Amino acid sequence: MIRFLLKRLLIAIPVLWAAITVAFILVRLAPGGPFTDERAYPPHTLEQLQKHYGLDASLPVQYVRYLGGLLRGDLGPSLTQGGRSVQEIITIALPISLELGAWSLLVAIIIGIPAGLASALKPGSALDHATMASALVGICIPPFVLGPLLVLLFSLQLGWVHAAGWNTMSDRILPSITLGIVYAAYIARLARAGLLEVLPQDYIRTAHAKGLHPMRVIAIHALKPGILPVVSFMGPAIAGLISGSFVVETLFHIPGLGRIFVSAAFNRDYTLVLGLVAFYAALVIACNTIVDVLLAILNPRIKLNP
Amino acid sequence: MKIRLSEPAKNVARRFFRNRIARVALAILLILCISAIAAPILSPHAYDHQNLDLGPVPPQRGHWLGTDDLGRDLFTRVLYGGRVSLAVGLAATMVALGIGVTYGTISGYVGGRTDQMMMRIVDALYALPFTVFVIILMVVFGRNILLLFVAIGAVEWLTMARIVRGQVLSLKDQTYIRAARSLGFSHMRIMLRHIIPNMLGPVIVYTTLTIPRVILLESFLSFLGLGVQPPMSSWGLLIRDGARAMESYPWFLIVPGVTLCLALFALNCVGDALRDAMDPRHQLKA
Repeated sequence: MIRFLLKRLLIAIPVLWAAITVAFILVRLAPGGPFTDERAYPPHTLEQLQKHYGLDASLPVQYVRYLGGLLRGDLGPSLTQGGRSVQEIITIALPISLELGAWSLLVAIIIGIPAGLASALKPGSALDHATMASALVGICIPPFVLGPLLVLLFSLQLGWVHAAGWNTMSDRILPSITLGIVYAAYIARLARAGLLEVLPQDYIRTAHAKGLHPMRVIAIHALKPGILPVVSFMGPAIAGLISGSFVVETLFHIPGLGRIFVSAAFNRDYTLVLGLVAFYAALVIACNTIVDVLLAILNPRIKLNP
Repeated sequence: MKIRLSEPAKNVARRFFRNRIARVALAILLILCISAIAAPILSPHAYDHQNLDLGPVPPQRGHWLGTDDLGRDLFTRVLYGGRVSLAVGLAATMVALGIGVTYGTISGYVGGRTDQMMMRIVDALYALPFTVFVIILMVVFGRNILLLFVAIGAVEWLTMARIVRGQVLSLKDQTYIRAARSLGFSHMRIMLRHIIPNMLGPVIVYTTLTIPRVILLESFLSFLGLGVQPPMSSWGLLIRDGARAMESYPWFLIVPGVTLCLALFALNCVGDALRDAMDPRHQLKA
């Protein structure tokens, strides 16, 4: 296990490097810069700014400098956020996005797994049809349609919650549902499919035959291999939650990483974009590693080879 | 010309059409596709024709889905939006399918070091948050539709490759594959004749999940202002405009929103029905 994690870490380094390099090249190919505003700076000021942030050096030099800073754990100053450093910005915004992600994932799992289970136990029943129809509807209503509709209904019409913001606990409800419901639907489908593969197998029949309680057969014997597809889906789901956060945070005016990232890219805030690419990349790699470990724990036939 | 289907294909078709939901979904899909293709015939208005004197009006004679704040006919814009959204969905999915199945099969089948390397590359690409690259790509090369195809197709194959690889990994230790190997069949033959047909089910199910996902992605990008640009139309773009004006003119949001959901719904239903039709075990159980 430790060897596996160490190896993964070793692999993560070139991956991160590649991600940052590609992002660096692409960001720099983009026309315009962080200081091309509606009101143009005087040439002298612009020169000073460029010099201050080291943007006057040649690109290879800047690239090497950036990587050097990264190795020392320095993501550099943001170019558009009033001299705050990229670390500062991430430190402030990250907890907000993590919280949103956690709530959404909770919504997804709490709804998805029981729904999939109920559905798989009685395939073809009215309950199964109802659940899968709901899942289908859930998949078919994207966050950017669901979000405004929820706002329209629950805040503009009924006035139960705020239309936007991230201050009170009730502000968490609509964004989490908006972001999480799609994943609940996917999880329900995947759990159902996984369980339907498992339930007709011989060892389940054996378990029933030796007189185990049906609940025990399902909870212990069937659920573990049955939710494997759900666990494998978690990797892409985390990546999806990240891009989902771009929409939801913009929609609900949540001051999280997603919204900051979108505006940073629009404003060509080079260091902020690169810092966030590096951060997101590290996050996705970490999550995928955890998913692999979980898969190996759930299914001993899968060996952990990194 | 007479189309001749093999016996299993006929069975699949028969089982597919026996499913009432599948027939309805297919009909919705056909209507959406045909109306998107025939948009210039179906609508007397141009998608970008502004009528500022008219302003935003609710559904009425002459504009039976109403008009937007610039007086553009919403029905026309939804039709033309469908053209863009469906075209992107189809083209990008085919790109994703081709790359994903080839890549995943090779990776899973060969295994060992090759598999490791190939999956690390997928991980590396996964680790590049897609939206970053699309944002930057759109800025660098201008926001054109062709780029959208490539960018979306190049992202969506990753999950397909992973799913296929997972399937191959679990299939290749099964007895009948071992038997095929011990009979001395070539790897190519085992892959093409034994592995790929046996994972067709999951691949088709995922493809049906991919087409709507791709359409979603396009809408997502257009919603953020990074995809299709006005005065061109796409479902995502219309929803973006609709969400901004929903307080005063809810039909801006509801019309394109419902259309998009309907399209996604039809695609998903058709895919599901296809899966059930291909795997009779599912039907028996269901």
